[in-house]
Amino acid sequence: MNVKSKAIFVELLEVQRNYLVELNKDPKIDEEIIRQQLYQIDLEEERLKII
Amino acid sequence: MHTILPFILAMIAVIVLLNIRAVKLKIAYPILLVIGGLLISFIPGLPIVKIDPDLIFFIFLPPLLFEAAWTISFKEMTKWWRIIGSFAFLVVFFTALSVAVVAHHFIPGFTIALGFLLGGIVSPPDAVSTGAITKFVTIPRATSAILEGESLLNDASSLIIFRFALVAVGTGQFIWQEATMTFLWMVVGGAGLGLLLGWLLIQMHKRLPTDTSSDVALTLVEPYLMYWLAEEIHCSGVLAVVSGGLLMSSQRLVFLSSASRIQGYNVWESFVFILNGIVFLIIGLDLPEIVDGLRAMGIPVKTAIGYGLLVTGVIIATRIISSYAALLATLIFRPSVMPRARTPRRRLLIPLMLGWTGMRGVVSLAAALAIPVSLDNGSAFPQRNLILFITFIVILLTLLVQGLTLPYVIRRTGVFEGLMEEEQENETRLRMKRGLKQHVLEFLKTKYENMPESHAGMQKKSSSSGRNAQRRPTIAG
Repeated sequence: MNVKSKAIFVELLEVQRNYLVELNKDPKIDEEIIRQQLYQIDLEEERLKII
Repeated sequence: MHTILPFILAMIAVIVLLNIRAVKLKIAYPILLVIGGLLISFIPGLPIVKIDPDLIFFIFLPPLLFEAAWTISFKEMTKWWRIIGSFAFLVVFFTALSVAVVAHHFIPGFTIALGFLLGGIVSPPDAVSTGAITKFVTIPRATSAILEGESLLNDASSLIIFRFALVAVGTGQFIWQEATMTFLWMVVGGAGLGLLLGWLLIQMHKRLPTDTSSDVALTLVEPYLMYWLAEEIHCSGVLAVVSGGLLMSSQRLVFLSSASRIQGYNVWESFVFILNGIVFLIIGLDLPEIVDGLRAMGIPVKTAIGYGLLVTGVIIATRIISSYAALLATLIFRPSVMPRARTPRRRLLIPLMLGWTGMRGVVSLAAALAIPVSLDNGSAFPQRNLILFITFIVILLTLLVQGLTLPYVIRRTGVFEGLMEEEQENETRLRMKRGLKQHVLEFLKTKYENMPESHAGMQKKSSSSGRNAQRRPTIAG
């Protein structure tokens, strides 16, 4: 994957994080589910760095 | 140093072996640690670990509390703040009072102040033990949130009782007005300082060019800094660490990189695991000396075990009574949030289960070990060995009896059946994934619509990732 694509992917992951932070403001949403997803995004970002 | 280092390494090796065994036996590791501590006390010739009681809190409490505050969901805590608050403060005080009255009545030479000291030590259920035990059963999210939130805050309230009782034992008097002002300063000052330091540390992480290793290393130092500064100005170090930890946890996405978060999670999990194990082994290593001290005071071990059984009975009974009182209060004042059990019988069993989850653990042990050996006037601290021994018995019994039976009782009674939010959880996940996909596509359209190649490529990637959402959930949900 080239540098530009990587940058776009990292940007998309950040967009996803922002969406999850907003979603977490809904009191009906279980924060544990949001945290699990955020952790997955962190792992994805780290994976992107090594490919 | 050359003798203590191999000894510490051997302790860590024992902790790891006990954990391996616990995993194999499918039981919570604190149960095996407490048994390990007990067995170690029978091995002759082992060195007695001498740690200054003043240092016990400082070494063990800040990281344990910081990690607990980091893990807990502040949102869930605020959702259930009434029951968490009542369990963390009212129930802790009720338990300490009950233990004080019973100990004063049944144990010769035990003053009310000593009773409160013991009550403060044994009143907080332990988050680590509860978490490790409930891992083997499925309990509703609301119940685990209540247990986690309660465990975090009751450490603070019980240790405040412990501090006041310690002063009362040392000075022989208790002035209500002074105590009230001190209590307010400890609570407000501790929480306030924690928030201030938390904010400052977040700014530090943001502004300094730290890499992953530095970030994680700093998080290891931060709880100690919060605790130490709070104690220096006579506030509650526990509350400072808890409030600072909660603030920093809520801002983790802002000041830590993804690598720091991932590495920090792993480092902290191992660090807390080792600290927990060391406390259990230290009490095991100290047990022979504690038992010798009891004998020197003319207290037979059997009698001391009897006291331990009595105190254990009191704390279990007070927790179960408190749970039913909480159910009654909910029924009267907030019937809309009453637990929705399938049958009235199961609804009545819920408080019993909540009452049965009060396993004691590392905070009680650390508090007991933190009792000074002597008073300011140089005389030996009254009943220190007996308090340490009773604390060990309480932890042993709650972990063995409640800890081993809890998963079985939950399964057998089916008390939480119908309360699990599996459907709701699945719906939330689905909604979240759809939202992520939609959000990412909208972002791509808005930002890259003038870049046809990138746009087409990314859209293709996004839609293919959407199909593989189960396999790779982070790309567009």
